[in-house]
Amino acid sequence: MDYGIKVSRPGFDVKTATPAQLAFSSKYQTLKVHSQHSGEIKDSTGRTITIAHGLGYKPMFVVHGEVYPSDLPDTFFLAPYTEGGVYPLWASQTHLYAYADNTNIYIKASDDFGWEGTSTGGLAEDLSYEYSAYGGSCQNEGVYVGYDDGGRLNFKGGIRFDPVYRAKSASVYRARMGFYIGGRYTSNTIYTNVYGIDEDDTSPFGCATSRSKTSASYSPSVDGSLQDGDTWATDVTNCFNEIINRSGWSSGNAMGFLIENNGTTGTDNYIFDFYGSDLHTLKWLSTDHLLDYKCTIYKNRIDI
Amino acid sequence: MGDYGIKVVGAGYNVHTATVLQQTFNSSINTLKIAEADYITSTASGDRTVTFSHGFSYRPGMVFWWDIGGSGNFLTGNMLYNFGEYSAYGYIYDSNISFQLHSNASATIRCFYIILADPAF
Repeated sequence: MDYGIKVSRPGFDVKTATPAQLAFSSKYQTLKVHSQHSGEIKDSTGRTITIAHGLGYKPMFVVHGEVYPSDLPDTFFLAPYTEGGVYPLWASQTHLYAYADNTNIYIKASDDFGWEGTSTGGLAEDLSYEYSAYGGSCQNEGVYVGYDDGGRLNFKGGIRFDPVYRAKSASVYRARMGFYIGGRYTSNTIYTNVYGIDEDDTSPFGCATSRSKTSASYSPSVDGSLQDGDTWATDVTNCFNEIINRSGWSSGNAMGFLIENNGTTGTDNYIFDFYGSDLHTLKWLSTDHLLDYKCTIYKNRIDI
Repeated sequence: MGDYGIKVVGAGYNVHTATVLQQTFNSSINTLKIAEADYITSTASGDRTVTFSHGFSYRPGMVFWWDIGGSGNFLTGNMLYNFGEYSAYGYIYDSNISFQLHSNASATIRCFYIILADPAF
């Protein structure tokens, strides 16, 4: 039996209107809004938002994010979103995505999202290392971190980033150094101490390890799962802030870090890279806030 | 033509004064109408494409969500996942809808889609 309700939009005959000319037709389902949500995605909360929808099934949903809060404020992009490039979404790029299960909607900003500044290091005179045996030879053709059972023993490494554009005394919420692992011997955990180089403008390395260290330090370890081609990322926030708060710091100066072995022993157990890669990174966030999001959850279900 | 039509508001609002955002229906404004809701399943490794006819004389709008290996975590499409280990793209062309899927190892990818009665373009 052919019956139902149609409502046409102004100017269209309800008897002949196409679906697009109808404002409503009982023949079709419509998207029915269950709830709407908005808020902030923060670095400190794992870059993830979890929204309980209470529906007991997987609902249809859409998410938008203000992915450029500084450059394009109040401009919201549909998720999934990725910045630039040919590929719609690539994990190493800045991206925002979302998914649903029977309980929650999850919204995630990638680990690369929101870093305001970035500087790379690894060209000539950006890297240096020293080993403790044989009189402590110090060289600048690369950087080594860890312990060498073959005779060189404890390594001290240095990495320099030039330039670093951060205004004097403009402390950051978080800074992170990424050590590009050009090579690795064995896969035991490597224990380190990380310091900043306590200089206004770190000059190119001959031997880095004689440089003064910041009072701030960290004691991170290099997990055994990280291998050649991976990046070991470690927090250097307090070192970074101590350096940019020096009286002689100015934006555009160079900044350096030292990485010492911290009790790693046993068999050959170290990571290294030779100069030329320029793949070591220094990044920083000004605030915990990454971006604002808006989420609409529909009553309609993903019916699988 | 006179000023006539249908407005419907939710509880707590006056239909004479409610704004568009307070209305649940207004006949002067189009709504997205779901003509079909269904899913496709594909299990394989590497690249594969699932194509089927949408059955409209025009190109309809389409939205989809997808999951991997029956996880039940439905992602919004289109996207690459986990460094490109998995991906799903959906698109409309001529009389067809296609999902272009990829997984490095054999895996089931499910795409739940809605086809709108409203034209995409």
